[in-house]
Amino acid sequence: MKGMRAIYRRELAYYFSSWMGYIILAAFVIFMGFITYNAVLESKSADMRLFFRMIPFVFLFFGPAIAMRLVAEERKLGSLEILLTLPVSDWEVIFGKFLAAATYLLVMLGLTFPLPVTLMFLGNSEFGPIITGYCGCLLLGSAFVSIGLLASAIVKDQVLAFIIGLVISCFFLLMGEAFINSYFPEGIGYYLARLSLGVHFSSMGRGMVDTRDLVYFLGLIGFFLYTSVLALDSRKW
Amino acid sequence: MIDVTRLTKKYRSLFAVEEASFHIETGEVVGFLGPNGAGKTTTMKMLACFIPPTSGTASVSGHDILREPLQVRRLIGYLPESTPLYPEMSPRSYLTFIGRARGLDRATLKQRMSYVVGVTGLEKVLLKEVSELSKGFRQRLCLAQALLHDPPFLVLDEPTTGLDPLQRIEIRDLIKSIGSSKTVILSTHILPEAEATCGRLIVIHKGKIVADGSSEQLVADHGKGGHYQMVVRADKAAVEQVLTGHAAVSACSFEGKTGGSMVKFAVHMRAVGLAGGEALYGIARENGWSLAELAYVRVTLEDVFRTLTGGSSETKEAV
Repeated sequence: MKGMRAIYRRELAYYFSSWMGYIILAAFVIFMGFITYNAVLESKSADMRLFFRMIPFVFLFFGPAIAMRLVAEERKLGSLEILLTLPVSDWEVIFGKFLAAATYLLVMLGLTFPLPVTLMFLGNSEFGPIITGYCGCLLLGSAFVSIGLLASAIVKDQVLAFIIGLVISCFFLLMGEAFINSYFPEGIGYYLARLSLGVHFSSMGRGMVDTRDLVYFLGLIGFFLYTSVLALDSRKW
Repeated sequence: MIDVTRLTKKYRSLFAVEEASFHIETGEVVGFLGPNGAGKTTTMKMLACFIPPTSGTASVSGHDILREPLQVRRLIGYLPESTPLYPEMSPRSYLTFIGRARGLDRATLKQRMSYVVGVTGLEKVLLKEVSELSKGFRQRLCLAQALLHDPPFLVLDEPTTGLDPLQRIEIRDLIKSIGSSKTVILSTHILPEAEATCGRLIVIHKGKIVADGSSEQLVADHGKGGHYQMVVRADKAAVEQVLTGHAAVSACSFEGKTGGSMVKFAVHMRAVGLAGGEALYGIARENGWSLAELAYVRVTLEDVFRTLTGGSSETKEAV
């Protein structure tokens, strides 16, 4: 556990050690603020609907981008050789890195919190559904991060890791959509929709809590973290 | 102690290490010698539990590298060959990270940090970024990292590369002083350094252990003795005839003429040491050659190394 904590702290510090980390945060907050207020002004209804509709597509890029360096860079630098000769298990390495990226996501989301607070003063939004929506965002973003982490554990090149992460994330997000399902026979389309990140997020984004969604997200994250551990283990060629 | 049993690492059809077996007692300082690509680094990576062997195994203080890798890693301080550090961190934050990951508590970490920073001479650069450090300082930081948790075993892959001669001596002395209380395995292809630091040398060539012992032992076992260099005033053909026919001489070769009518021969005697020299002097006196020079040319570790590894040019250059 101590090893995992040390890795978590190092990775988290990395996000805030360069201007890039702050620029990403600022870009995210400004962009989300802009589209939310714009929607409010146009529709004259003070709610967060567009925020929660847009966020999957924003996180689709941010998730793999946050995760792309986590293992790939260590491989490239060779620092994996010191990291993996510390008395730390592969699980602790992957989990520590994942938690750091998820914490960064939490900070990103936390910085947008003035949005719902102001909207509550302007309109009559309820607090509960917004909290549920935010939890959904965190789970969705974490799922993208876990996918990006797997990509990062597979390849040495960060850009390639980002692209692979993006493609897999995109598939998981959109596979329940009608335009993709139309390519598959009916039965398969039904199952694809049940495995889709987008479908599971949409109910949480609307403020509905369903245990099945929670189980789905945690299961998906667990799956990708597990495969990341396997990928890390594959150094044992 | 470290026990290595038929340790083998195979990459596709190529053996990086083939059936290496050796035993290292607590407190020994052992040097791995061998040309580049001989399998030194691979052996060390397996001992540090970074890569698993294809077959065979090793144990450190009774903990098997395959079954209890975390236990083994706790006992070992490992310095990789390429000094892979995080460029954005400072030596202080890096050592703090390593100490925390190794589970040192705050007080121990503080105390160990000031010790390793002192012995590796990192005080001046403690707050700089690693990316700004010279190769020498990076090497020292990597060494500091390996020493931080006060491990009973040290596995150091080329600990003195990238250092200037003065730093090299410092690090050599440091390893010697550490070696009195710890078990150290280090690899190098700088022979004088290995001779000066290590009580025991293991020579690896093409993945196999070809020799194992102290440098004196290696010279005695593999050096085929030394030879005598003799300069006499006499006729070349006559000298040659006498020497090749003499029972005490095992081989001789003409090396050239010196100082007018002097001839120089390299003579291998059946008896070595003083007895060989005495016999050769006797031969010269019997035949009436006036003896100008008689010297015993010792076999060096370098000669032994060259015979054992088939005269690898890389290593000769490094010497």
